[in-house]
Amino acid sequence: MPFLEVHPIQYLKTGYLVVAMFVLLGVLFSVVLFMLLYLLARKKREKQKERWHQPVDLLIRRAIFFEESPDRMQIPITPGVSRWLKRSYFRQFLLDEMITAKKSFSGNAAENLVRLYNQLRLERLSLTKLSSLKWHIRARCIQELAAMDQKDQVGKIYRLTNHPNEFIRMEAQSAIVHFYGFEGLRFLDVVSQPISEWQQIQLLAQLPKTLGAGLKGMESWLKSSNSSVISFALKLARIHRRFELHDAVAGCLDHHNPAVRIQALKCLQDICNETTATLIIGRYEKNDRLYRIAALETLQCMGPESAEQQIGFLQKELLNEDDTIKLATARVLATVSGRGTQSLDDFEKAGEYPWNEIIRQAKGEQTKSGKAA
Amino acid sequence: MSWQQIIFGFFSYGILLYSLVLLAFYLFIALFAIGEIRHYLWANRFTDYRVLAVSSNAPGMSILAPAYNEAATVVENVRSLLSIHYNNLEVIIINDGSKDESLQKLIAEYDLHKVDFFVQERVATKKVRGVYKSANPVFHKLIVVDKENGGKADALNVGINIAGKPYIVCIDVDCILEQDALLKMAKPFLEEKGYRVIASGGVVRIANSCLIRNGRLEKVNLPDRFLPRVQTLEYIRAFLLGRMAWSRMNGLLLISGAFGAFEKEIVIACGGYNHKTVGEDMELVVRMRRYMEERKEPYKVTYIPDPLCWTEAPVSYKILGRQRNRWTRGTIETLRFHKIMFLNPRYRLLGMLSYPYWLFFELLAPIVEFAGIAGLLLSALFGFLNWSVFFALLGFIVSFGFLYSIFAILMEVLTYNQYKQSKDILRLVLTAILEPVLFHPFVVWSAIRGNIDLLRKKNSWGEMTRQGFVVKKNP
Repeated sequence: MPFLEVHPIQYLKTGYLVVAMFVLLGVLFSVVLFMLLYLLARKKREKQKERWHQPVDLLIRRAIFFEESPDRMQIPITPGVSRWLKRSYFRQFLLDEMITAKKSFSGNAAENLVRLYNQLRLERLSLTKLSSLKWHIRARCIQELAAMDQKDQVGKIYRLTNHPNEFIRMEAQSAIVHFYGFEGLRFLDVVSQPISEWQQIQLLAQLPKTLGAGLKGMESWLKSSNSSVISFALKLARIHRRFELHDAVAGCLDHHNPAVRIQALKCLQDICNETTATLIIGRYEKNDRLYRIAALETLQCMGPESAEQQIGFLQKELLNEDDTIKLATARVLATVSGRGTQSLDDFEKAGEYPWNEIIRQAKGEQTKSGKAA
Repeated sequence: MSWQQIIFGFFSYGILLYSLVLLAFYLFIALFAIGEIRHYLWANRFTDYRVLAVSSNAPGMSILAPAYNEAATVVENVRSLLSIHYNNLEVIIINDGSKDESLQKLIAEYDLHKVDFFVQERVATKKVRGVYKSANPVFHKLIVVDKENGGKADALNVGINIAGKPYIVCIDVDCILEQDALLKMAKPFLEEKGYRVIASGGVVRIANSCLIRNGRLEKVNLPDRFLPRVQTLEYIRAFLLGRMAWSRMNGLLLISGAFGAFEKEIVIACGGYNHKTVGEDMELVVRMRRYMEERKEPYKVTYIPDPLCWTEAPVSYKILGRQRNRWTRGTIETLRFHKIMFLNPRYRLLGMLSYPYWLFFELLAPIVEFAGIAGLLLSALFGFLNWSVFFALLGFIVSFGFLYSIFAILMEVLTYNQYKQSKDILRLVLTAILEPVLFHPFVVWSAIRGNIDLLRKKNSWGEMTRQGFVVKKNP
């Protein structure tokens, strides 16, 4: 007699298992079928896009080279395009192509593309998306409106610059900066949501390379309760060399957020004056390792005059137990020809490891950068 | 009830329960991954990565690529790495005591000279023999380090000591990276989400049969041979479904050693790569997570579903067996090192879900599967189980696995669609049909061999012979 009358697995009725298996196979065949139909549909759509591509390309070219005259107020539209315009899929395709083209042009050509957008009333397509409940559709809509310079919609877009959804907020901020340049940054006065490093890079890329008279309110941004606004203002002050903000920037060295303190150091590197080195080193002891390394790197970049003021402090830091700090210190001293390099040579442990290797590297780098200059 | 009955019942019901939980997990992973991929695609649809490529505010990245006896391809591979779109970048090639002419070829090709370089040993490593930089300003991003042989983990640790940028990107030197791979990898580190991103992984895809020109991927092809093709399917399943679902839960334990980015300071604080395991990639991620959990700092390990890195898959069962054997040993070692986390609420999701999942459904799965099928087969042979039930159960399990693969193919089609032609998709479907017969049993057996080898204290890496990509040179 077997020690087990009925195998536990036997409780799984064969019939049920077979039914379950066929259900799985049914789902499986449905998925395969769906996939094949989807591939077919996509192929058809791609062919359709290929068919549309030439007339759309022609229309965009016509728009780019369009010149208004009393008898020719509108960009001519071919009957084929007019017919297809009734289809929302085509309108979106056309809009995408226009946006791609607009990114490559400026001046009259870009203005003509906006004229075409307005002429075809494509803003209606964009605006229907602005009221969508889906964040990605709204974000896409804002991007379209910005790309097509729809300043009429600025009221609606501005309200979204502090939206809880980061993607809607990012697109709205970018759009406002796209419309108004530095003046568009006024949303920084009120924004309470964080501006990510990614978004800061995007905004900086959109701003004009030269400052002009448009940048106002930086002093208040440097005192903002939003740390990311301070970080952004510090980047702006650095890029545009706002020397008059030196004291306000130096004030950020005492900010509670370490990232702001590091950013302030980077900024001071480019707007320094004769007091900067003392201000930076004055806060050295009470800060952490990251600040200390960044402070020494800042000192290195500020030039030999600043470093020379701190030779005594630097000689002391050569004895720091952290090798990264030793190396950063040696690099600063190596920038000061005369007293600095002499102090490296005269350093009591210059012949011992690791100082011997550190000093050799610092001097080698300085020689190389001197040659490159 | 006799003791035999109790043991037999426990075994049978255990297998049954295990299978049900495993199937439920697979179902959950498949459905949960959809949301993560969809969110990623929506969020990045209009992202202009070029802005980051030229920005002076882009975070600095150091690529670390260990090379051991790669003389045949190292020059081309370095050229490929130097052509990546990213400004604030340094490329560190670590020659791990190669016995061939890798270093000499690099010196000659890139006009390298030994420089004075203080190697700060923040992570302990074997001795560094020299650091080389190019006299040609065109190659200013390149640093080549020559060191004594110490294995991949040791070479990566040397790279960590040398790296001057805040983020390190660890790759296999023979991988082909997409030109915008670093731009996409950098983004998660720059997003403000209220937590610190400590590591980010990228999807690795199979490059066999793809067309490579001058170190760049020119045309994606589905591998012609069965073995790389079935691994293509396996990678799609693992990366598009598994890793994305775990990433959404913030429960990822593994970033592939072929391509992953890490915050350098955390890596150093954790002690760098562990050279006592052959699964150093997984072990580092687990250790970094454990470090953050113990400090109660909010953090995340992210994953990017874009195909960013292409690698050559083993084409023979012999090489594949070694690879899977090593993966198994690496997993066992990692889980053993961090056994304190097992069902430990102090480690939250990591201890309560990720670790148990890896233990029960990644590590023990081949053993349970092997034992389960063998047990059922014996039961049927000795008449304890009807053959009809045996085959119906087998059919059900195989159908489920097949459906899971087809779902992964569907996700690929709906998202990245690397294989454009319908016939390629049908070939993948056919591969999924053949997988349970021609591939899966071998993988299970290799994993069991891995367990046995570990018990026998065998801890070699296992030689990986590569065939080389389909290379097209410029005329």
